[in-house]
Amino acid sequence: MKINLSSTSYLVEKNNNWNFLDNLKNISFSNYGEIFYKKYGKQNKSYVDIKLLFLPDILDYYELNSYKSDLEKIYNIISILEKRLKVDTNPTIIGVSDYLYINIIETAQNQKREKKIKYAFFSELYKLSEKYKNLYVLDIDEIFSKYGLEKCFDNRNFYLSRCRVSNFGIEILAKNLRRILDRIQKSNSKVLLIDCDNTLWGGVVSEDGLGKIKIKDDGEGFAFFEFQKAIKKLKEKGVLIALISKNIKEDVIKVFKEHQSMVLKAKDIAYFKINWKEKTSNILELAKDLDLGLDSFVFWDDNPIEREKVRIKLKDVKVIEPDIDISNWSKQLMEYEGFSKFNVTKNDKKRTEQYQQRKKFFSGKTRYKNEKEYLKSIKIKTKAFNLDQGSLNRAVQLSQRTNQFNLRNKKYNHDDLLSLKKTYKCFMVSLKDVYGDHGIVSLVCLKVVRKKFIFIDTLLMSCRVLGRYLEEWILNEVSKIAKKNNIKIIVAEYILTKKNKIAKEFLLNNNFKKVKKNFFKSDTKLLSNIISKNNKSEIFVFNTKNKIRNLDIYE
Amino acid sequence: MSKVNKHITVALKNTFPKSRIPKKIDNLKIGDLKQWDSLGNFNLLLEIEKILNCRFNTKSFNQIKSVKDIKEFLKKSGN
Repeated sequence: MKINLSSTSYLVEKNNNWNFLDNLKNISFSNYGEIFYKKYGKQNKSYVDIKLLFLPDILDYYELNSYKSDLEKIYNIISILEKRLKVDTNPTIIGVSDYLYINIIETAQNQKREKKIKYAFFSELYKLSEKYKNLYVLDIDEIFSKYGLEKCFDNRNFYLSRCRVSNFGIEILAKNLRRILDRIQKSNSKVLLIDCDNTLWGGVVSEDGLGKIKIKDDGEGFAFFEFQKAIKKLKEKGVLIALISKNIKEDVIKVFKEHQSMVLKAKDIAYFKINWKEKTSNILELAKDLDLGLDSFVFWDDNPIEREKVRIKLKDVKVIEPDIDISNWSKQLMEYEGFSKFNVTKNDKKRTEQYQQRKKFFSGKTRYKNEKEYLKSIKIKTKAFNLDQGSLNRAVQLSQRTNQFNLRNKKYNHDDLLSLKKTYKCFMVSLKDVYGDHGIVSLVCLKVVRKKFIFIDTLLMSCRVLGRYLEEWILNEVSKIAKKNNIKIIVAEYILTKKNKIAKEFLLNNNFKKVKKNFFKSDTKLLSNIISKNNKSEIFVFNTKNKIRNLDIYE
Repeated sequence: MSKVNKHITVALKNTFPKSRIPKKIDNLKIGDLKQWDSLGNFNLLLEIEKILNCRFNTKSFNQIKSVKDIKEFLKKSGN
């Protein structure tokens, strides 16, 4: 993806440090000071637009009575930015800095005018980022303060070339912008694999006993207590916590049940893998249970040998090197960005509970000889509803992270879905059963093509609810829509990826027939205009007269 | 090659990756390499600061236009 970099300050194009953002060949620099010079319209090419705004370049810092006019300048920028965001769905990153100097006497009783303006600016930017999910906001001073503002800004560079930042500042900016870009392009890790002894608490529970392990006592114990708080916070943001510990299971469970100072409770833990097996084999089992790739896992263990084993055997698992001092663990975990995402949805908060429900569902299933009887007994309730503003965040999340039960694996963002729903029939499905409310688990987008056929643009389903034949219930819903429109044919395109074979199995198990891409011979363009040009694409058709299986589970 | 020359050669290579840097650099000056224009000179001096952990002040920054100037400055400032 190309990057366009513009700023109120000169950015020293061709400076080597921009390579930390991307290969210099992929970065284009706007002319110095030209933040909004480009004509914006519907962009065909995908690129990232990065704008770095240094308020001393925009506001008059030496004029004492310019608050109102300065504020107007800010609102003017916001208004231009919004006009752009309305038509351009490419990612836009806005970085803002207000740093020029620090005078603590001037700010001891009064907030600096520039600070007030910066806060007003940020408040407006965050309002926009709530509305336009392709806008990302960066506080440049906050990043620089971690490394030292004095080191990151350079007046000499400004007087020589109008560049506000130092060479080191460019490096820091480039690296931090890269972090945002990486998260835009790659989803976050999902599971924290954590050890128990000397990791969640100080000491070894099986040797020291319940009363002597350290949690919450001053010093080391308090650091473990805070570390548990950090883990709990992650859990509340949707990260699954799995205990991976070579230990006596009863002793560990006892700590969770009986130790008064434990922040983490058994209900916060999605999976307990407490046994004497190699941790690597426990992780592999867990990946299989959760239907997740190894790159979704992050491993935290105080024992360097265990860390090394995981590093060597499971290269895709991210192994954290914990700080030598446990006092820093809580901060280290909170600063770790592997789990971070731009937005936390309602569904994220329930994720641990949902995986626990999933575990119960599968263990219940093994108790019944007749699968259908079991599925009928758990009282599955489904609901289909049109995609709307309230469900949009979840729809984007499902689109971005569903890799297995996903026919075409098209990744949509907010704007894509908003424009799609204008002409496509887009609906979502939520699911409940005796194990609880599983929330919204599926997104379907259909295109009615000239009353000839229905094309399934998107059909995806969270793998958390697999095993309930929900996909067949969804197919029936699609079929009902087709019948309502007097259409007999449903066309599905399957695009093979590394992970989505299960979606093809669904088509084959439900009487979808593979056809050639010129299936509609009389009007080949009808189909060729909407299907992918990918050579891994296959076309299947379904006749609405066909009977759909397993619907009795839902009656 | 002296230690300073080695460092300057590295800085030249890093700043002007498309140019072939000659073994003898003492007489090189702005304009001698394809990308060594005023922006290239700015980037070269920033790179030298990074490699040699030194700092050119505003006045000298504007005056330095050649390897000779760089070496002279470094000598004066005790590097």
